Amino acid sequence: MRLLTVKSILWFFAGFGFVVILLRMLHGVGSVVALNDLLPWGLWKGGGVVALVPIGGAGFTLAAFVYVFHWRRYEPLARAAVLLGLMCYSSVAIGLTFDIGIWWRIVFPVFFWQFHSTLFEIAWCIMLYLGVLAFEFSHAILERLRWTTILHLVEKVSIVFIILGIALSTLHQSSLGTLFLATPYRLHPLWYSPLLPLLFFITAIGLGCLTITWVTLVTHWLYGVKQPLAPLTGLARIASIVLGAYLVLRLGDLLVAGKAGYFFTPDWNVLNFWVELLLSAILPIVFLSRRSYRESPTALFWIATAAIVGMSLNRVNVAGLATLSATQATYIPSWAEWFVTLGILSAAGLVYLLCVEHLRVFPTIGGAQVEGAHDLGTIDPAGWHTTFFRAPFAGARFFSAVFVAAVGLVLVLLPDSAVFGARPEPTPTRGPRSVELQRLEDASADLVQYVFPIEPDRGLETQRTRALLLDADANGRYVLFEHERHGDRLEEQGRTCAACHHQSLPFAQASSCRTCHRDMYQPTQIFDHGAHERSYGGNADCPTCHTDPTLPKTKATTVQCKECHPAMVETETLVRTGAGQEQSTLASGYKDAMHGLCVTCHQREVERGSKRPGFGECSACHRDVPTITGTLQRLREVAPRSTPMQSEGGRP
Amino acid sequence: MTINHMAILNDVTKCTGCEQCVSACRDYNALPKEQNWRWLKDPHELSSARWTTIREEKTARGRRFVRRQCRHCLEPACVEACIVGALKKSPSGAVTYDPELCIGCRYCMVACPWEIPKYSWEDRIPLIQKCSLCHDRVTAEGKVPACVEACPHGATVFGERTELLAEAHRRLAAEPERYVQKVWGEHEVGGTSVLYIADFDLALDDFATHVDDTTPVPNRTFRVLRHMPSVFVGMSAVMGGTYWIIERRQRLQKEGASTGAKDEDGTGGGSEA
Repeated sequence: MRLLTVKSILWFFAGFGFVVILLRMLHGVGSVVALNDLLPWGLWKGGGVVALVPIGGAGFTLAAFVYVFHWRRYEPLARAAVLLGLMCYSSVAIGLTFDIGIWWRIVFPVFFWQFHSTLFEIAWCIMLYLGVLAFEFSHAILERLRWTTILHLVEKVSIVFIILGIALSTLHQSSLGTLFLATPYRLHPLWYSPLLPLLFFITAIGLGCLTITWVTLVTHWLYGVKQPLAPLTGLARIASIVLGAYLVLRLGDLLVAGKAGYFFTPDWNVLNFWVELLLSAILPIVFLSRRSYRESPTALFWIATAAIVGMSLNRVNVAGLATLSATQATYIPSWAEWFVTLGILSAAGLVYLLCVEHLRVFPTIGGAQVEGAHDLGTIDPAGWHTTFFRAPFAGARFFSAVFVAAVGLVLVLLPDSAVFGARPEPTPTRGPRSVELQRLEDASADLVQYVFPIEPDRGLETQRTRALLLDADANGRYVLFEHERHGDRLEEQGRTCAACHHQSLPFAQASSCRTCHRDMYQPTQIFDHGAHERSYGGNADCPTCHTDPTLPKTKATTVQCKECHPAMVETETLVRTGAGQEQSTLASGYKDAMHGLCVTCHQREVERGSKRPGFGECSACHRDVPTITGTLQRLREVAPRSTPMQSEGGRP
Repeated sequence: MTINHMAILNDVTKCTGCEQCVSACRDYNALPKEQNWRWLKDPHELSSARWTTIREEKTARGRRFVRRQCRHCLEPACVEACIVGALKKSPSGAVTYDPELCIGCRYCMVACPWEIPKYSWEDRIPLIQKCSLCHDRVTAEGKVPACVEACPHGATVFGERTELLAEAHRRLAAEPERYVQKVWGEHEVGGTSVLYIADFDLALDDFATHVDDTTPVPNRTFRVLRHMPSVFVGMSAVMGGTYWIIERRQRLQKEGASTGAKDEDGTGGGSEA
């Protein structure tokens, strides 16, 4: 029953991961991950690749112990360790494929060689080592197929591959550390060290011993078989020695580099450091040094769990978590990222169990125990579920149902951006604020200065004026807009308010910009179909606008706005509503609208010979260039003392 | 004009923050429209839609405007990092990007000491986005980069790096009270092709501890990476040797056991320490 439960959970997570991987292939990596330009590597790279490779280090560690050093005591675990390596590295390969931006180019490093790239070296090592692992594990498959001739051939050359595998592992386990030698400024000093490659390699050995211990314990527990304690106790001892060496090196390196000052500073990173070190090294060393703990499966399980969690935290820290404070990035892995990580690991776990059941992975597990573990026990033979989950393939039917349920559930749980692809965030525009200023004009130099707050004793040459402070996207960068003066200038040129207020709501004189331009970047719909429908009495009066019922109801076949709203201003600028023109009911994004309007007019002024420096440039409005706004350098400080403008209504 | 390690010199004291360079860059490189994406902290910063941007700095002498763009390092970390060679240091001095090769591993973004490469997360086929020093425009059309051409105040100039360095030092010497006596980009991480002079202490990166040493980033990794072939051979030799010695000893033991007096069984292999 416990096997059934665990397998169901694995199938469930596999379903989660499957859906997210499909969506990621459909919409691109950006739609599902929470990564950003400041933190380009997250859970998938840190947890799925950098942390999973040392977990798979069990493969080369045990291969060295058993086949090179001839420590026969560990032979019962050798094949299980190779399979563990195979599963981890396959997961790494699959995870990496979906992490990179263009997944079908995962094979490019095979064709385009870059000997100076650490990542290139790692890619090749992992690729080759995956082949070595497959070769090493082929023994089990050949054995099962009883292809004895090939099996003998394979056994003859296998030591060459085992040694090749150890050498390749040495390279890429350490090179994963080399990767982060390039990030001295990103990575927190408690983690950055020239010894990173060495530390990564050593911990891969120590962790390898404990991951195979963990997997052995869990598998034997699942199938209800007695734990093979003799090799596990030995591995525990080796692990404690290796982790001890790691602890000495790590702390020694920090002390020599003069980083001891960090050890007890109250900082999130330091807490993280101690938690990591406690779980990954200190606790395992302390507990594994006692014989009674080494010989207790329960103690071993919890110690191995702590070490795996701690060491994974170490890799995740180096790959990203410990860079957050230096880069000031924010990153919380999205649900989609968790689902893919869990999904791939679960799938690997299922394949592992499949191999355990059908091949000779553990000499202690097989045949009768496997049958026994699958016994469903006391399921009611007349219950509803027995009609569907019946033999043959009772298990398969059940797991399929779990998988499908997970697929359905995850589609409901995921945010829209993951399911339908990323869309720009809505940025609703904020109305302007109004402020009273004192205006000083120096006609000779064509210089305008503003004073705030008003100083009555500045003399008569000054005049009071009301200005608008615009900050539609509320980012704290204000633009000072002197409404009155713009009106005066237009009047001088014989133009009207309609130059800017090119279209107002019905029954309104001059609707403000944001009445229609409601989003900073995206176009917004300004025609309110619902309101028109209501005012004309529901569906009854469609022909009021859609005059010819035989034509399809499109903008082109519909009455122009102006025919009903004759007071609507004939546009000078962007929006087309007049007869003979294409009718548009979309208002462009606020930014485009403002730039389209302001910049065009400002540049026309420059062409006409405006003497003001920089009048046609962005800084004319966006920056406090002295010649334009003078003493008013602190619009941000002025803003709180201004009053928000009320957006006037227009609709009846 | 010969194309030989071209560079850009930004004189921060001359920049008025007009952002003509930003719009010229956007127009010439046909960058996408700016949008408020979930992953952007500030749409005004460098992003897939902005290869260069102006950042406002408050200094003791008032407001200053610092242009940000790819520094085109002399020994670029991104080029060293790139797994497929999509990023290259061209002979002209520009660090160029080949979108046809990029697999999207984003190691360049991790490795860059200036946090310059950005990613078009919004695209289904996302690519790295960064300033190319208008490489094609400079080499094929013989023009200066779009941003330099657009600058109305001469705050950013284009030329050979050695000449621009000389020019920078000339300006520093001519007005010592105006400038901080330092050319940013002359030595940092081995030197960059985008140089800055300013009247306040510039911070060209956003890290908690600023980039200040002259070691090129590639040296940090290659110092280790270059030993990898010998590590590979060495590890194989040590493992092969160990295997051979122990194997031989056990075989001899076994032979001795079978020919000589009855010993304990030979499979026990007592070589475990």
